[in-house]
Amino acid sequence: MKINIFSVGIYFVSSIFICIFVYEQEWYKLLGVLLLDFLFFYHRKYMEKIYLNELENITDALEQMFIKKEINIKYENTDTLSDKILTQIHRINAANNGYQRLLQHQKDGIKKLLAEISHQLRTPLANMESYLTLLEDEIHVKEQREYFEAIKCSEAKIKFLTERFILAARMENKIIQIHKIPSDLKETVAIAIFQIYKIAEMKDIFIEVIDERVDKCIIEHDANWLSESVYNLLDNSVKYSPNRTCIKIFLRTNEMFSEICVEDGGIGIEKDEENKIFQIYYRGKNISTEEGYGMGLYITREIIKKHDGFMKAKRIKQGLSISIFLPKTGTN
Amino acid sequence: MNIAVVKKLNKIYRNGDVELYALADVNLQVEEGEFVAIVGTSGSGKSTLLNILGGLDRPTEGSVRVGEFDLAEMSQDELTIFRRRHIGFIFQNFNLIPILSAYENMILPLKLDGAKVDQEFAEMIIQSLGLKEKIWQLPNTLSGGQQQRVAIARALLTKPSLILADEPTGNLDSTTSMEVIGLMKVLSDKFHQTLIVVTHNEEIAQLADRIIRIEDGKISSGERV
Repeated sequence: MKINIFSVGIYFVSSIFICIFVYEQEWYKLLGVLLLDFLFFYHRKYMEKIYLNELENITDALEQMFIKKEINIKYENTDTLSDKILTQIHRINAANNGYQRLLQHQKDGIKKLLAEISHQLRTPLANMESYLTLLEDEIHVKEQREYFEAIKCSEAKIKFLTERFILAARMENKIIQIHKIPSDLKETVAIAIFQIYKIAEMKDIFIEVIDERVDKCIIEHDANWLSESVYNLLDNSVKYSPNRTCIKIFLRTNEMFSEICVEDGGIGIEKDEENKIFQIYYRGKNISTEEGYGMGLYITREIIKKHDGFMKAKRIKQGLSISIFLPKTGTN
Repeated sequence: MNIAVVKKLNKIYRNGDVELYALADVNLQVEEGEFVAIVGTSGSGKSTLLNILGGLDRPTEGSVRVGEFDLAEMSQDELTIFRRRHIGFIFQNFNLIPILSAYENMILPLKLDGAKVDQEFAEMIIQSLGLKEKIWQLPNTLSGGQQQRVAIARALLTKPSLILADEPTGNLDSTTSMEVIGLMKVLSDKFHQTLIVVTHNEEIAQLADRIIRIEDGKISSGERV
């Protein structure tokens, strides 16, 4: 706005001059003024353009920094304000990147330490456990029995916490690394079923696969991790279902996603628990006796997230239906 | 860090002497990167809340802070620029311009802001949304789900910090709805954006990290403590 007022002012003043000169009929002076006027006008346009370019360069550089790319806007070592600003942006970016790398490095170090410690804890705990079982037969005094039970109880607690710790460390330690290879989802599901088959048979649980896909689509995924996540779902279903029930696995394709849906006739979940069950360490309200760490579904969802997919839980009449959605197109 | 903080918000519609509270004493905090669903019956004030968060409507009383900005104190012109640079909107009826191709629709907000199109980023978004073959078609030749995906691309291309969606799946069938919301969730995770979705569909809402329920202009559950 300021520039506009400024230029209007210039034209106003120069037109007054023109009027005066026309009145005095000194034409050569008029030509001179007109020439100056044009020169002034074009110079200003030119300068504006340069400033605009420089400013655009700066916003581009900031934009690149903003989306965490390397800044590839070049700058010269000249004594202008815009080059100075660009230099400063480059320096901020470099400092920022360095700081983030340092933080990441430290974070990785801590994670590694945690993972190691929790693994090291396993051996002495196993020792304790075996000696405790040996000791159990030796104790005959009632008081000693009480102390013994207390120790045993504490040991079980430590063991539980350590296992949880190891799982958490495993999650954090970027152990989930996905190598996507295009293959048929059905084969991946089959791997998971083979793993659970024995346990299901013991409870007389029947697993049925229903293929509702309209097109045989090959999906880019990591068969190992995906079968692990399907296994987690099946494991939950077997664990929380009564004997002699049926678990159904549906394979479906929609417009954008492929779906693997596991339906069971188990204890299900309460209303409003649908998005809570995916949280780490969350355990369903319906669970009474079964053991668990509240990690299974969390890990499953993390694996699916790495595949650019999502999960959905739904309460059905008897039991629970959990779906995995994987994108049909690769989203690199 | 909180990206949106609403404190003691009242929205009152006056009709003569009759006062109607569309929103009454609403307090809300939304964290950066969170996916929040606002659920309520029609007329409960959920859309009003979303519009106020996006600067489309003004609060009668109380403060609304989005990022660094206090929306209650901004002028209409400031609000327009704020919306263009910080907010991505997704509507129930898609609001695509019928005479522009899908791609032109997507880059329209960028053009309005005089910004260059980041080709790399645009291609990535189009690829993720599975729209590669459709970008030169006119909106009315696309299916509902595809149109909504174009609208999502349009909302994402300006790299907004906050994406607001008002019944984004109201015109879609249930499977497509699930897919569209799932897609929005995946993308907002990928680009660390905050997503607030208004819906009356419980099944869709449960994909969110947090569900906020509104009844008669008051938040009945889902406030973070």
